[in-house]
Amino acid sequence: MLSVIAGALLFVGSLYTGAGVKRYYKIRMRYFEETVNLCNLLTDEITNLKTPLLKIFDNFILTKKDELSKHIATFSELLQREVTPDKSAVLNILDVFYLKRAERSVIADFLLTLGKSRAESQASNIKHYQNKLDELFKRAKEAYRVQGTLAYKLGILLGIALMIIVV
Amino acid sequence: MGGELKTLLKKSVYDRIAASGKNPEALFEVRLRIGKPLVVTDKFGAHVADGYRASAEDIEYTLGVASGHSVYAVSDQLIRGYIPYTGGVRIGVAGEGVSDGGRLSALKNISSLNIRIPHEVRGCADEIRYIIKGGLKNILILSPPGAGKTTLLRELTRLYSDKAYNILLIDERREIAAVSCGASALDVGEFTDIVSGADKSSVYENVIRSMRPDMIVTDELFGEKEAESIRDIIRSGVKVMATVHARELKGLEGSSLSSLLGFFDYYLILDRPGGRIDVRGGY
Repeated sequence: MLSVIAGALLFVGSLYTGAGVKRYYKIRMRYFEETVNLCNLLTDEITNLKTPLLKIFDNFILTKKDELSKHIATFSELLQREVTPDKSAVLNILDVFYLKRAERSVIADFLLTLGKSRAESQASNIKHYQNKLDELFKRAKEAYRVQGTLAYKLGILLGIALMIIVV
Repeated sequence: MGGELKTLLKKSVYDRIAASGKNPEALFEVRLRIGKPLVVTDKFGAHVADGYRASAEDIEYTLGVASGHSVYAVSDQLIRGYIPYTGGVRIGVAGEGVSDGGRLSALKNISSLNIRIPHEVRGCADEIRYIIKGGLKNILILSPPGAGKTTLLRELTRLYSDKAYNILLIDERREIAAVSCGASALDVGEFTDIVSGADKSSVYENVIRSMRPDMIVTDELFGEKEAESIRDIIRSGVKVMATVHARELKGLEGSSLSSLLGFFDYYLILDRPGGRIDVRGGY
């Protein structure tokens, strides 16, 4: 009886580990997908409507409830508090397990360029970062598809194997 | 109104002004120039805040706040040399111009700011109330910058308006009435309609006909084209009250505004804030 319980626990543990790894890749994919969407929104609002940055952020935060919108909300507060925040303060906001150091740096640089120039140069800046973020999104999407799915399947298989061995 | 400077200035700059013995909330003007001393002006005149030199960060901070962290949203105003801020505060800017086809298309590397804070001075027109009592007149206020033209214009507007004349206030730079979200932060009277932030020439052409004012009020006349519009308005029977940068009536002679001489009933000349008003005309 004890061995059945131990086998079941090992199976569930292994399954959760696989699912956790898959979720990690999914969060990354969604995050970069949303940064690309944010770029589109910024381009539209800045070049066509010249909407103030904080207003764009407010609208974005209201309509999204994901990891990026949390970062944008914190960045917006930082901007209002410090007006000209330095990069380290922005990197602190982005200090999360699912973003690599280089990726955090790209996003921080992107956020810090916003609102600093006139609409035309702002649009070309956003385009520049959008290309980088789009590349990161494609990579994250592929990683989710291949590694995420593989990790999940391996988790199930390993769980079954462990259960067989223990039982 | 009030507290705008505290929001606009970096804390270190605001604290330095307070430490220099000046009340930041009683200032008319604050000048920031990169690497140069901080200069503040109040009713006693200009004053250098000892030992403090403005930095690029100080200017970037103020620009960030004034533009709502969105320089692109105020780039048109930057080309015109200023950014309007809440409460009628106007921030003059100087930097490197970028030309496109002979036309100024942008301003970059901003190195100087002049933050001007409007003040309501009730009673500053008391000595010339007899002009108001005499009914609507064409009035031109002349003074060098910073001598109180706009303050006097605002007070006269309020006095005329409170006598139930329909006044159309054309506040292109938003510093006479300090309109924000449709509400005026400064008192310009009960019977005043305000057009703010709009180009004056288009208002002269379109809004005057639709609003049918008894008097139009505007600040800082400039150039022959505007002088021509003002002459046409006066000829049409609408009274005009305006200001112009000049130390003396003679200063207008030979200028692009010289054609306005003779069109106004009164010329009010100011030489310093709170000084006597030199009245010419009214014959």
